[in-house]
Amino acid sequence: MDTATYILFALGWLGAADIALFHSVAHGIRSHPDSRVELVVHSLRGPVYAALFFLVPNFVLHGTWFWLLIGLFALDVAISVGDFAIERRSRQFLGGLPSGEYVLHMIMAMVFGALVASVVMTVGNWGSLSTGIVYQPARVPGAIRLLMLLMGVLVFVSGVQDLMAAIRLPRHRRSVAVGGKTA
Amino acid sequence: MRAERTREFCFEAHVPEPLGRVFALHEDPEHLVLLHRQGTAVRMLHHDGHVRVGAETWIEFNLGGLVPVVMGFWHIVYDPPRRFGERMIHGPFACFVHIHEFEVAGEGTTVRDRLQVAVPWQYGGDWALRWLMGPLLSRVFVRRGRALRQFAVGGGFKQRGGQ
Repeated sequence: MDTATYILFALGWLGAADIALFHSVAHGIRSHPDSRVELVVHSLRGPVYAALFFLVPNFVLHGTWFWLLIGLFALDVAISVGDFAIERRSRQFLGGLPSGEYVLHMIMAMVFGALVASVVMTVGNWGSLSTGIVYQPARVPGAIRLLMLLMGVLVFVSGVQDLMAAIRLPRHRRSVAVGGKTA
Repeated sequence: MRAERTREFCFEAHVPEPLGRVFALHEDPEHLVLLHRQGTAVRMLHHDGHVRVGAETWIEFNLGGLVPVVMGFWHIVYDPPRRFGERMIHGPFACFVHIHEFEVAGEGTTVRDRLQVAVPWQYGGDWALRWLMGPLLSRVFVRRGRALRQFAVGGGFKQRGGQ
């Protein structure tokens, strides 16, 4: 899955930019009570992408393993749909979702589509073969596979941090702008 | 728990208007946007209509024209017409305390902004504060002082009917 590995690598950088720039620096959603549900949704991405970063660059997946990979893709689509559905309300108090984040999400969705298409075009009959997982690294520089392993660890940790923040945050923030102004 | 280093900054601007008028302009959170029309744009998100102790003001400033950073402040000092101040309760800094001081200077007023700022280690800590945020804050407050003087020269204080 050489092409898929490169595409997933690019998706990893885009996701890292999204978390660092928009979720953390711009909106600090881990300390925003209105974003509790969004944080729970984000936390699900941690294990999904940790698995993708581990499996795609390193293994050939046959039978049930292949269908589990397809299941991960389907789960990520469900997470993204859920994320889009709740984001508007989650960020309303913070001035709404930044334009740059909208654009980044759109690009990430397209790159994700390219990832799925690349896998589907590469695998041939993996789904109908007897179940097995074979270590067969993608033909990409070793440094990229190593970085992707690191990305997997970091995205998992980020997911855990999101979940912990969601549990820790109070249910409601203090109401501001009584007699004042809310944009 | 890692302790981030806090740095102090002090910026001064002289305004050719009486202290009462200058304080009155500053104590209305709605006027904050006026002071940031040049350079780093500030969008007012929410405020309680005053800056007395316990009130909150939430703003968004645009970092590099790409990343809109939201900061929420809790007002902690109110001593009219000499000073007021706020502490960050939401935003990317480990610590951000801003005390506004006003002092009679001849027929005008000296406005002094005292800041205590710390950047979290994951955003570069003291290195980022010293080399990135420090110069950025300097530019922001120099422009703010210039905007305040232009506002005074343009008759803005009188139009707003300050004391």
